[in-house]
Amino acid sequence: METTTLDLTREGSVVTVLEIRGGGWVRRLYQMGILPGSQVKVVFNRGVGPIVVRIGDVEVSLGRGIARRIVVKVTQG
Amino acid sequence: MSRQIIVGLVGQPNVGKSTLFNVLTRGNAIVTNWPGTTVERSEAVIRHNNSEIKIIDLPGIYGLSYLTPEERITRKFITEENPDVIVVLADSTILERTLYLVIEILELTGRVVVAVTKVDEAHSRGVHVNYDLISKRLGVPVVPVSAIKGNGIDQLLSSIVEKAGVESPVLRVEYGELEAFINAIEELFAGSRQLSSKYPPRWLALKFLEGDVEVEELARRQLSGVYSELCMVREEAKRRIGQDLAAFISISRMRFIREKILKDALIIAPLKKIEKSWYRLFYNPFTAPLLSLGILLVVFLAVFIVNTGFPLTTILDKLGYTELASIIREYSISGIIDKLFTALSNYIVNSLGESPWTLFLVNGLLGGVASVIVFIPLILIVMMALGALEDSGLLPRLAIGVHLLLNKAGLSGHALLPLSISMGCNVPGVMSTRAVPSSSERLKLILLTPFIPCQARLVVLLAIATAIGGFAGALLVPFIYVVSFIIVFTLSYIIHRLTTSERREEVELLLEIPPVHKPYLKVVWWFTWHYLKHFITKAGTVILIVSIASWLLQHTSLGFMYTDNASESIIASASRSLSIILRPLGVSGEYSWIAMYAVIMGFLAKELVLSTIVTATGASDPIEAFKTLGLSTPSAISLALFISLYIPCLATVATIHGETRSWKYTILSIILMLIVAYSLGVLAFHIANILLTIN
Repeated sequence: METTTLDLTREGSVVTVLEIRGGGWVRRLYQMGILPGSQVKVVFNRGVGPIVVRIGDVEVSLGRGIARRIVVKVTQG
Repeated sequence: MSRQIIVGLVGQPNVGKSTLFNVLTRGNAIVTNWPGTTVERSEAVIRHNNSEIKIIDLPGIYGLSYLTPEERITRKFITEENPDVIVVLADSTILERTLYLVIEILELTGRVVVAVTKVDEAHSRGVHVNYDLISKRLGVPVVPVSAIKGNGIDQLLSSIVEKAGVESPVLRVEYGELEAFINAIEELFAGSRQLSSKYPPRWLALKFLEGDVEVEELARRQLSGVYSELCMVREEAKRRIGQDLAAFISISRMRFIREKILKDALIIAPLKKIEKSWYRLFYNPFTAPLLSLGILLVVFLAVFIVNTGFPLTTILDKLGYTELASIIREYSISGIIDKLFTALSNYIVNSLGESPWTLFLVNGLLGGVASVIVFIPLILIVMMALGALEDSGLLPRLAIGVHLLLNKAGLSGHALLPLSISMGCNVPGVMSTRAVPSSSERLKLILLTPFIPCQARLVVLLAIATAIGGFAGALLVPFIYVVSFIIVFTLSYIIHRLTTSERREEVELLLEIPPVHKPYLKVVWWFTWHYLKHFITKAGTVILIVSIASWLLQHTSLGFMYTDNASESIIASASRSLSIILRPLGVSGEYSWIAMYAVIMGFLAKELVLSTIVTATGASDPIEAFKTLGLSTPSAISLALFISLYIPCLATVATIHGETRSWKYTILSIILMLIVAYSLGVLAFHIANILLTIN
């Protein structure tokens, strides 16, 4: 299975978060449900601009700088 | 009668906490600040079945770590103020995630009632919850409510009354492999009587493993004998678990919620989902900025037209429909209020006769009240429009849409709200920066939002524009708005370039996107009132006091006697000696002191610029008064630009200091604006001079 960072994932794919590499946003990401082990669907990613992901029933928009720090494994798509 | 029950209301952002608080308290809250912070504390006392309940609204938090002031406040409240009941909110539409905070608090205390919000919305989405089962598993009451419809409120209050004084055990979450380490640390913590009487030892152990700053400090100070042992256990745990312990603990809690609390208690019947693809236009990097800016432009144009008639009136004037334009101006909100106050002051003067006292009453007191009240409806309309955008779920989407553009200037999508609110009034604009997650971006916005022209400045600028007339007059106001935004973005870009790369990375977007729905009028009103309140209390008192004081100064002669003639007053002679400052802006001649005088008054509140010129010239209306100054068109343009930019008004200065708690920063803000306004004012004068002589 392919390991990458969230900013490089394809739109529509489902990924599992492996690790969040530091930065001041880690705790907030955990609290929003983006933490190692959680499954995230990439709702929108066009290579520029914020990424939109769906965790459960909530959509969250993240800047690419944050997404670059999130290491994921593509589980579907 | 029984004693008062103290209740704290805790919840994640966006779960409907303020809605519930407003419904519970029927809007009768007292607002103060949490000691030593600028975070608001709202509380209210209500009665339910012969019991008196005091409800305290705690700030919205995602968890109980010790990172943000909001989280620290909530923890301190739970452990030190000893509330009888903590009502923790969970959102039924996203139950799994919002139960996280419930679990964290239940690990700290058992004095909890869980309120599950938005049940009607969840129901319509096919979410069905077995509340009794969840209540049994958590060991505390769980009450479904719909604050908007008022369902479940009575049951919630009854549960609070029943729960008060009833201790229940804290919740025990299973942490698998970590258990052995938790137990070891727990035992060490339990050794301290002082600590274990205040916090559950197991909770301390978990927080210690998570690397919590406060618990770390407590352990270091109060368990100095075993502190090294504690750290050793933690190191061992890290090796064993093989990942960040805070992450492991968060994951275990999530799993606990899924497998132990919600299993068989939550059914989501998939309804036929209509994929609303147009929402995606807000995400697309090409359509999003255009769409977002377009919506913002339309909304603000509509607001401006309702408030002042501008820019519709300017366009109609240019097309030759001057009569229609003046009707619209007359029936715009500022036109109507103007008429009301003129009628009222005429009535007072007619019935009391003309004496210094009536003049003080009419021009000083009533004028002061007027300059506050005039802006309430104007700001209200701005906030209502933004409130509707926010509650409908459009505002977060607009923030995403403009994020890329703002990013180029070193800002993020989070800056949209403060910048938009500032178009109404800078005071709530500066306050709304609290929602910006990055502290460096927040400080930058506090410094920059005062450049955005507020409604008061709009009114001043429109009067000057009308006095200038012609083509230049028509373009003046749009020109100043464009310049203001260019200043904000340019300065932001410069500051961004100057900051360290670590700080620069913080300018990022992390935003929850709520579903789009029709805005609820009630919620829109709460949003409006939240920001309008700041204008009324802060700006209101400042403006009222200074406009009375300034009236007195204007009518005291150098010999400290009452004078009818403003040009003999103390303030006029001071302005005469200072008026040389405005010379480079092209302001000169017999009346140049009046302009200086207006500039001085404008620091107190920008709207005073107009009334000052009117009283000093003795003209009948602002436009006439401004014409009396006899300024050339280039110098009028440059003066208008200068007045719009030169300084945050006094109320904004007070707010900047209140929010940053730093005089250095507050003074920096004033100096920055003075420098920018003066240099651009001089520049504008010379450019306008060249352009207009060519024509």
